[in-house]
Amino acid sequence: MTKPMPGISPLSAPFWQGCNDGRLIIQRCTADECGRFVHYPRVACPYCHRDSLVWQQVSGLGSVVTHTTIHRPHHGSFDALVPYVFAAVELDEGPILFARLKDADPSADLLGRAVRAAFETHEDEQRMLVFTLE
Amino acid sequence: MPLSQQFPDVHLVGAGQAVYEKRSERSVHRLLYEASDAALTSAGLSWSAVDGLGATCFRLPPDNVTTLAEHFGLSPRFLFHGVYGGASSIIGILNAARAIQNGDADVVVVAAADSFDVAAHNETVDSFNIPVRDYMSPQGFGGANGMFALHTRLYMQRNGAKEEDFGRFCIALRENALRNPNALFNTPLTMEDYLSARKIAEPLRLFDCVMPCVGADAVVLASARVSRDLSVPKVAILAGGERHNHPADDIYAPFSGWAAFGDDMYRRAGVTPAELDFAQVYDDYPVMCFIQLEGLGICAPGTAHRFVRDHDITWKGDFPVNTGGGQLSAGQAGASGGMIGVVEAVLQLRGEAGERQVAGARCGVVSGYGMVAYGRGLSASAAILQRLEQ
Repeated sequence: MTKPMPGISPLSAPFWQGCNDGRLIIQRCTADECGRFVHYPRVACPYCHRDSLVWQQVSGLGSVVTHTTIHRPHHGSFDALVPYVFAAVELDEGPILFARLKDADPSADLLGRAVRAAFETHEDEQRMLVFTLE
Repeated sequence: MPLSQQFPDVHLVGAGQAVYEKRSERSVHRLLYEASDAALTSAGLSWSAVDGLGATCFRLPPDNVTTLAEHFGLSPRFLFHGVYGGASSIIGILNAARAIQNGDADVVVVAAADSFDVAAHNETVDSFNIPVRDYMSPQGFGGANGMFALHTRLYMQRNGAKEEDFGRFCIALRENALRNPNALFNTPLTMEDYLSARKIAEPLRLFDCVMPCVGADAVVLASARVSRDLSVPKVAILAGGERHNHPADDIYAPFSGWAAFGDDMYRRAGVTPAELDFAQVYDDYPVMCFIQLEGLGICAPGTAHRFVRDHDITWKGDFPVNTGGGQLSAGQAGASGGMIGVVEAVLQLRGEAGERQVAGARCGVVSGYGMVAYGRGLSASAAILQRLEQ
């Protein structure tokens, strides 16, 4: 069974190409008074509303805001992975990204733990963001 | 006593449901018809009186409320189509009330329905919108269960809530459901049952997660001019509000959309949370009920888990919540989950809640929540309803 694929658009293509290249690339506002990092991809800065977003590689470092251990996935393509940890990660640059936490103990308390972005094969044509514990 | 309400010339005059089922051959059009027809019957009105229609139904596309009007043979001068998930129905009622108050409609049916099982529900949520489709589902988020497991763990960590606190909430709703003939769960739930149920998305277990099902709910609003001639119990909408994507810059803020408009809603209604006889909150997951009880001022922020320890929230308790069993024990018929609490509130305020009637129910709050997107539901809605003394 194939995994659900993102609907890659011209707007979001740099993020997904970054995943394929093994680099975490997200948007950043270039306005002097703003300068915030943004995820998911937007047409304009959701903080200052200026048309001043560019793509920038980030550290890939962050910490776990909250997490769950999935036993009953939403899609059969994830059944072989259960139980697996899915987490909300706050990047050091600010935005929250959601991804699986690979090789984490599903029964552990992981709140606040430091993590690093990694990329693994999702389907043939696309790699996917995951995080690993530091 | 004069009321400082938003909609003095609008009454809720009817409420009805389709029979809830785990599975059914009935189409969503049929379900919407059955609930609407039941609501009109309870209002003492015929379809020919209807000049406004609101609908929320995830499985209605490619149809919509406009084609639904054609399907039903109506020629409305007011339409509403809910795009706020489980917050839609209350928003639809508020928009209908604005239209009636403004003279733009006289009789508006606001209905919601869906036909789901687990697989169909997951399929709908997976492509609910671009943030979920592209940045939640491919990453393995576990569906709505996973999304709200993340909120549940955070709530526990911030406020010291225990699994048993969510259990108490679910058990009380089940007790309410035992007296609701249209609830799909009709056996008692014990704490042992709750804690030993299979894990779905930790910390959530089976009974924390709503069961997708088939059903429909509807209410009828009428102008005072029409309502005057109806010899049925009526309900006033004292005030209501909505808020979306709040706060805009923090998915896991420790406050919610309800908190943003709650004070203003109570002020306009001329009542305080202490004067409420019940609450019907949107219960997709117990943690969201806790957040609604807090946001709606029924208890202080971060204390809902203690509130359910200290209060009996069953229909016969000191502060009844989700007196029909809510979605958690009646079933979640998709978008109808945003209306089931409104129908229950109208029944309670009309004194028609049968074996689960809250004694002397005069005033209550209803709330909605929906449109899960990037890590949270975006839309919050609520209204204060009060029995109209005849």
